[in-house]
Amino acid sequence: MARVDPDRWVDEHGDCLFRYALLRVRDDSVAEDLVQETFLAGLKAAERFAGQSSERSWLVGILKHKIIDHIRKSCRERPVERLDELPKNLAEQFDEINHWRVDDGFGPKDWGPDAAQACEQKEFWGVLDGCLSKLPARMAQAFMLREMEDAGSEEVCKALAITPTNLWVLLHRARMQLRQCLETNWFVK
Amino acid sequence: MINGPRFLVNWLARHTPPCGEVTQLLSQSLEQPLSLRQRIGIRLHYLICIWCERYMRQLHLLRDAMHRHPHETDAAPSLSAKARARLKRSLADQTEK
Repeated sequence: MARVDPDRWVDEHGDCLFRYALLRVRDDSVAEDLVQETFLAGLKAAERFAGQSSERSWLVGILKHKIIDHIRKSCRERPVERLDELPKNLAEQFDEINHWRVDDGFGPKDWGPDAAQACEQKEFWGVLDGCLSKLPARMAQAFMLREMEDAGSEEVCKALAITPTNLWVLLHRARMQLRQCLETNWFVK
Repeated sequence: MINGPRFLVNWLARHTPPCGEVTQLLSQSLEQPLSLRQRIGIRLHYLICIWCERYMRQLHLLRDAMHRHPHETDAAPSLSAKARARLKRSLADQTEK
């Protein structure tokens, strides 16, 4: 890679990196800082970049590590919230014997035979991102590290300073909330 | 099955995990395999609960979607012009050093 033009990097990759970070850290200024750190690290390592992957995916790789480091640092300062009972918005879907409150309109609806084709529609990703952004921060981090970055359970637990049991609870809640959000906003409108 | 003989439906309702627990087990199954007993319990539960069966399918769909999530989407938001300028400045400062 020849001498890098930093301005070009910002123009070509700035938005994409910013969106990537924002989805995962949920704070504009933190996301911007991480993007800046990524570009700076990229500039320093530019000579070592052998060009095996695209410039963008190389930068995204650097950003991924910065995000995990950030999450790890910020989680050390926050106490783990109570995870024994489901939060109210999820618990209300079940009745007193822990069955779906179907008569009150809860319980998974039929998404129809074409549900799997949703991924082929561009608008679907916007809806999914919207649902992801509504997740509480910690839940979102656990879920995205696990499902989008494909990080192993151990790595996620270390990054978030939680036990595997905590992680499973977070993932369960995230999935439950996302499923409901997608149902309301996409599949059964 | 939900329209089957009442005693059978009631038996299944009493002897299979309730929906809240089934949903939790289904999420867990995405992390590590369930025991045979748990899997049988869930299968029997589906006989009287189409909602949990849907939940299972929808969880898999959600996982599939997350795996196929494009890293780059065209959706908003983007860097503000100010932020963009800030970034360029800080990078320029660095390259001058």
